[in-house]
Amino acid sequence: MTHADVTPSRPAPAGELLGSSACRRCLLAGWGGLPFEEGVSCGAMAVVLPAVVEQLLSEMAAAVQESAQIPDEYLLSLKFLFGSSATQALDLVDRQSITLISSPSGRRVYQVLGSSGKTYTCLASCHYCSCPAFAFSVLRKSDSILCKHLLAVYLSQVMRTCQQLSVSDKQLTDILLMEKKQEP
Amino acid sequence: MAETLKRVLSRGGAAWSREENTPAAGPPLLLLGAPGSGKTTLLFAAALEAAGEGQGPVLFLTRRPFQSLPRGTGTALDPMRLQKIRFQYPPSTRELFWLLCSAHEAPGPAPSLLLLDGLEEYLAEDPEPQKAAYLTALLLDTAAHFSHRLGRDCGLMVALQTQEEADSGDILHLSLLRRYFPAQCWLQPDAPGPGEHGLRACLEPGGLGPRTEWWVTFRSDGEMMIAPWPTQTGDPSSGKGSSSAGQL
Repeated sequence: MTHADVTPSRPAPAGELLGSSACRRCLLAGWGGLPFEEGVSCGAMAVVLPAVVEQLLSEMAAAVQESAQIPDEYLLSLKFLFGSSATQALDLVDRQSITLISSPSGRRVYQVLGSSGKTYTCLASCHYCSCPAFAFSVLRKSDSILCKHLLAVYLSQVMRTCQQLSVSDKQLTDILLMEKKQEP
Repeated sequence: MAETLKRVLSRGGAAWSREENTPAAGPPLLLLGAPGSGKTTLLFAAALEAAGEGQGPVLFLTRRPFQSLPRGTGTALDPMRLQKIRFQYPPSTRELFWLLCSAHEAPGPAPSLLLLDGLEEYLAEDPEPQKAAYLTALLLDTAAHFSHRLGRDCGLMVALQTQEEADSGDILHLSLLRRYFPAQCWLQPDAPGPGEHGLRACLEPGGLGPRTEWWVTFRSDGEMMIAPWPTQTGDPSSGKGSSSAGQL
């Protein structure tokens, strides 16, 4: 299969991105080697994501401002880029499973209630999730660039919808530390 | 942090110096090299540079206190600058985790630069990739929090010792770290010409600009001398190899 054989069935509005190098692996390859990009426009701290994902997320953020839902074309792009993780991530957003935890210091962290009932911690400022899929697919095998929890976090930022929780500075330390003691 | 390091390295050659009104720290930088390649010296020089910029204190993390301060890169050891550097010595990975996780609780002004020397020692304690990733990610998260408190970027620079013979664990760590650090500076034994020795410092600013290289040597008293790496057309021996003393 050459790159030319792989084309999306409908052109996405982020057509520039997906048009020429339509092979998904191509788009996502070299995550580590791509330039440092500014964060998504809706107030997230800088994250290290491939340019194509960054652009898709910021286009979505702009589009969602007009309507409360993500337009179909973007859903298609998401599914193209992330496969089944996209559906699972959207499901997590729908179920209000993402909580943004902050303390008076201004430091923040995300927690996502996974489908298994386990809670995972995702950092707000860079790419990290405590789930086993992140450790395996993203870090070890380099198969994916995002686990569904991280994708859910970014989508909830785009849609400006997630639970908010305020804790004390000390409690936030404990939340961040807890990850160190989690079972492997 | 890449920009601050670039300024430090650029002091060595007048041709490379640039004036900037509000120096930016640049993206997080990973400094790599074998034992004795000058990573600690460079880190310390970057600390002094940032301390001199007057943007805030500098936080320097390392496992053991220095027996003696690194000789630096020729600039006089200004006590005013030294005062602005806060040293902390987390003796174990657990302590380092605690330090980073509780960084938002620490009173006082946020640092403008966060430096860590000897990441490999902390990673060696717990080779599991997820923990290594979390430690790395926490370093970035801590710097991001300081940036938030400062209202401007807090730089991050981390030194990692590499070995000539890397085993599979090292390679895994290295590829993981390079994902989190957009900018890298490698210190490798190399010389521009036959009969010469020293190190080649190769700074990859992570997409913000071209790769730049410097030639690093050490005087017998331990002082670090830096010069731009001579290009093909340049003449390595004609006055470019000046020490950085007095070039402030």
